[in-house]
Amino acid sequence: MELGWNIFAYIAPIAVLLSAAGAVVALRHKERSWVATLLSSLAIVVMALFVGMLWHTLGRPPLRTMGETRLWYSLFMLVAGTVTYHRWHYRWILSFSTLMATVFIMINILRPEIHDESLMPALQSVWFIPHVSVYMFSYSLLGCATLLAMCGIVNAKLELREVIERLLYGGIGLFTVGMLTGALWAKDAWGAYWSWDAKEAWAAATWGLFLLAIHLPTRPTRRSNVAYYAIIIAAFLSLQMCWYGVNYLPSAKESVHTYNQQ
Amino acid sequence: MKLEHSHSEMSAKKHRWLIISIIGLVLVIIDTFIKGVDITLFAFPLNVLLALLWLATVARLWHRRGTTFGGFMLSAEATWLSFALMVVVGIVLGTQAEPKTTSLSVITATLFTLTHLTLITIRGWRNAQGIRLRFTLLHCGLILLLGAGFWGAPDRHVVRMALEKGERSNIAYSTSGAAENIGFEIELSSVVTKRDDAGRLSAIEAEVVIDGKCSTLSVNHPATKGFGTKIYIVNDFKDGYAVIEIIDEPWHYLSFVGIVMLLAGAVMMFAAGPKKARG
Repeated sequence: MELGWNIFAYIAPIAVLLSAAGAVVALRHKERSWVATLLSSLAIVVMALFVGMLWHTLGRPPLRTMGETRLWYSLFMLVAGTVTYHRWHYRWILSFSTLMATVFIMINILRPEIHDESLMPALQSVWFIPHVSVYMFSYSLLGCATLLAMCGIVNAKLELREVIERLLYGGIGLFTVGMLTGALWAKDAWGAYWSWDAKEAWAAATWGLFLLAIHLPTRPTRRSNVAYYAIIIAAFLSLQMCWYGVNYLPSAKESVHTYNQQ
Repeated sequence: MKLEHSHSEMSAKKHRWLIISIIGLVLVIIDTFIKGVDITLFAFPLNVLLALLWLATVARLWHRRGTTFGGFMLSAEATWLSFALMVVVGIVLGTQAEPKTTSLSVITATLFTLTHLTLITIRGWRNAQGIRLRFTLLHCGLILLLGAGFWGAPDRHVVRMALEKGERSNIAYSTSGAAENIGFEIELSSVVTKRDDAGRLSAIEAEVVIDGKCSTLSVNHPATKGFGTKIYIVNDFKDGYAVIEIIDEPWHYLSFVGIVMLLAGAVMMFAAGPKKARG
């Protein structure tokens, strides 16, 4: 019996339940709870084991289709939530990261994609795994920062700027690494580091917005906090365009990045 | 007296943004009527001369940073404007079916960003105590990457040749269809394509002889010939036939150095987090 997508519907709920249990424990403890960290870490291990099994079954890294990238996104969302909780002890962050990971898991269960046995030639590169996995991790950190920014907009009394800035620095650092490994790959594949392809153009817009946020004044006022949160949310919307929204634009017809549409 | 000063400052600020808006509008109007700037007109040595002139202008601006314009180019407003321009350029080019990357607006926005970035890097290097290495890697890396892309674009030259198996040629064709002698010969010895069970293409490989030397070309694995020239196989092929692309981009070494510096700075940014300069 092949251990691939056919068992995902049985394994993923275990990870969701463990993560949800961790989130509940975290919410019920004012101090940092090792039980919450342990449960969340177990959820990560379960998801990581599934990714490993899928990788083995497919005979290639599962990083090609939208379904596979969502799988990494849900895994790294759990990682980002657990690391943020353990490092900075934001009790509710595990609830958000669990919710976000569950959404992506549900999409994968309800809309399974067809997976190829072999990678197309353009994806057969040493840059493939670092480029996509670093991006996925950065999306998770930036996703967490955006969730906090939304909370900041709803409740102006919350002191969130410090933790958001930490997440942003981590997220933008990795996003930059993702863009640059992509540029090195593009030079080998298409002969140019950067060619303003639709996806690259949206990546530049996203990068610009996140950089704008971290270049805002460091001594925040209530007004500048709202602008800060709004820019982060706009940047995350731009990230969604860069990730999958661009596929629905006319400019995507000429894009060299639309592998999954072939 | 203080109130009067503040009023005149506000009024100067309003005028500045009005002038910037008018310049932006004029550029956008011109761009709707012209196809784009023919950047090949600025090929070597003109681009190098212009780059040197630009560097001299940056040095002049640095020395005149006490003036209204010099002060603006080093201000936080100019930083926000640079990011806003990057976002607008990204969104506009990202939604255009045929991105106009050589339009006057894009060229002006890039030159403004590059100038501002260089000026704040000079200032920041002097002030960024405690994060100097990260600051330098990130900012100088970006200057090199943007600068090499901007000033080196006119020297980028792309030609293609279609070869049958066993055929050799030194004539390639530019995108406008003009035939050119590339200065060396390429011979296609063999071309192999592989498909998976579902009939999808899984590999393409071409054995070629470039100027007497055997090489294997495949997607993601170009061959290098001389200074700044790379030879690619294009995704337009059938058995016994291949399209070979020759790209001459002498400035790409500078871009590469910029990428490496920026990569190192980004890793430090991830590891150290929001550490600010001391003092």
